[in-house]
Amino acid sequence: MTARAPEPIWLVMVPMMMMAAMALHAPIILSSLALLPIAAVGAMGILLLLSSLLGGMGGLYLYGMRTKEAPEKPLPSWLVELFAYDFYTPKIYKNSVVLAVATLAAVGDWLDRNLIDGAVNLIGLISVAGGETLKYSNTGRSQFYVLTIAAFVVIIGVFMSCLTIMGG
Amino acid sequence: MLSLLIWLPIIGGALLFALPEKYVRPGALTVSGLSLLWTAWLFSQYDISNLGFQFSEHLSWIPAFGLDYALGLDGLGLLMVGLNTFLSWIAIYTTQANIERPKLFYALMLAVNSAVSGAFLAQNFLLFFFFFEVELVPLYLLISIWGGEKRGYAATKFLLYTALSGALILAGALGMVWLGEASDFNYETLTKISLPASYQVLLLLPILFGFGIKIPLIPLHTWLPDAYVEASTPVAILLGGVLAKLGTYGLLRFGFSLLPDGWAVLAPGLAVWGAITVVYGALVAIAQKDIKRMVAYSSIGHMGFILLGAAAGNSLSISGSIAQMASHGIILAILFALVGIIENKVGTRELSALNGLMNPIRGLPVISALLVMGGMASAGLPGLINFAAEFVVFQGSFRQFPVQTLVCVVGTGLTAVYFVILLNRTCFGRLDNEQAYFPKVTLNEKIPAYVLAFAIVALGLQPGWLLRWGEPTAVRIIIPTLKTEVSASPQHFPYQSDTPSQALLAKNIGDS
Repeated sequence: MTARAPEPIWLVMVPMMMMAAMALHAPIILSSLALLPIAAVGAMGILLLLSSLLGGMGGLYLYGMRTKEAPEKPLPSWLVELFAYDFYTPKIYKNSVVLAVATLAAVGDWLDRNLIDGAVNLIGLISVAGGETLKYSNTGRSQFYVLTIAAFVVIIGVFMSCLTIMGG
Repeated sequence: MLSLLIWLPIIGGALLFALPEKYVRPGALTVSGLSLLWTAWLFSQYDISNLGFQFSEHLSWIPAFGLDYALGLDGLGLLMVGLNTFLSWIAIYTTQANIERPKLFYALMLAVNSAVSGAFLAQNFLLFFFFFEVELVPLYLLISIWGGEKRGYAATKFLLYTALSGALILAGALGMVWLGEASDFNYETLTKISLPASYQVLLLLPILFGFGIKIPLIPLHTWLPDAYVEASTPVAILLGGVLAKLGTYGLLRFGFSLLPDGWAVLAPGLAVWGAITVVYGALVAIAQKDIKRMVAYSSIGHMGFILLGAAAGNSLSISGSIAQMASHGIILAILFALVGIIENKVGTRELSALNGLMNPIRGLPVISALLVMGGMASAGLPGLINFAAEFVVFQGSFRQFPVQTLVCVVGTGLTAVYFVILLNRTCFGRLDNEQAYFPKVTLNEKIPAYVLAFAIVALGLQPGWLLRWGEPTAVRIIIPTLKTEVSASPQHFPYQSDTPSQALLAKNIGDS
């Protein structure tokens, strides 16, 4: 899809176009040979005839009658390139859908690694740092531990007494 | 009967320590193979027309706690136990022959098998919780001893996250029993609790977040990529294939079934959560450069489909969710097995370094071909297992939550994007002939992948074989949510040849 379509030589193109035209005009050919009822041609048949006439006349003008004036460039180059590069569809697709998805993916990955995982790792870091701080705050003297235990027992006792008083 | 599935692997694992080292791997394969055969027998004996629990066992254990040794099996449990025993056998088979400390390794693998079976079989919440917590210990050891470079970090993170999830679900269940004034934690007792919707919503929150960590759902998922990437291949197969399903199983069994009114209130939010998980998992997978990490994020994305189906809450979507649980397990197993082989033979998991592995002369053509199949199965290609499951989920969820379902369909497309990136870079392209001296992949290494590939194709071509087991459960658990009188129509069983009669449905509805 991304490469310029190769242009076959006239030995391939001319018979192919002739047969394609014949296939497209089959309903009209069949009706003109009275092999089909006349109503089968219908609007589609008229449209086919008109488009074939238009294409034929356009081709005749561009390639048959303009050769003396502009032998190399019958059509403007932007039009030729539009068809050759498939209406720039791959490029449009790459710069719209693919770019959007790739950007979203990169943003999502960054969020995942740095924000979400980062928050979790931060909590872990705080826990470890807290533990280290607590570790270094130990004095090693038994009076300190007895004091800490006694203080918390008093606090719990006060709390339980308040609960009992409020409940009772 | 069901106790065999719990005690056989434990006793077998303990007996491995008495065996000489060369018999340890065949011993482990035999034990897990026997569990697998026993599960196959259970499948053959299971009566699909009976919507309730079968093969029940009940022993009073600690009445003061309300803890009973109660086991039972319904369609959902049967499928999950089947997945567990199958993937345990596959995981043990995938283990390299020259693994260090083989006795401890295989014993721990069998312990995980046993604990997970116990969790799926438990009919008492405390018993479920007991097995839910017990499986953490062997898994922590499996990741931290036999894992990759950052195994300590990954194992600790996994343990902390999952322990937190256990605490949350215990809080939810304790609340349920306390507020509902239940006498014990037996599942039958819990189903009879009737709480107002506001209480149900309150209790559903810790249960949702607890199981949401296990599944995992965004943003509770950060333990998964590290754990899956650092774990060795067999452990990753167990983690992704089986352990994640404990979360979705718990959500359906204890969330949706026991708190249906609360679930109905939260369902739109859950569907959005599922859709966000699908798209987020897919987008982040696209940005990955390590193929194992890509598969890990793919796992996160696919679990979102299960939540979507559960949120929709009709029998079709829940059938699809249950089928998706099994299909995701099998596909993840094959992906991890193949990525493990690639890492083993090529020496790297980097997308930038891998190229042209499909080369028939010097590459890994069979492995690459199976990887293509696995990738496309995960993307939901018709004819393979995941398509049936995802399609049923979408079909069931679309009527309830069309927007969220469409977003999930977009997620399926994004799944194809990252798998095509993976396959394009690793399998196709030009193999560097200077570097391409890979050790041969033996038949023994390929066998697990062949077996899984066969399952993926067979169940993809005949999805009824997968969907029929989950349907009775799906019909039964939505009964409390049916506002009308007994009118559950047989159309809820589209995948079976004979549909249960109205009388059978009425009988089962009357019983519950």
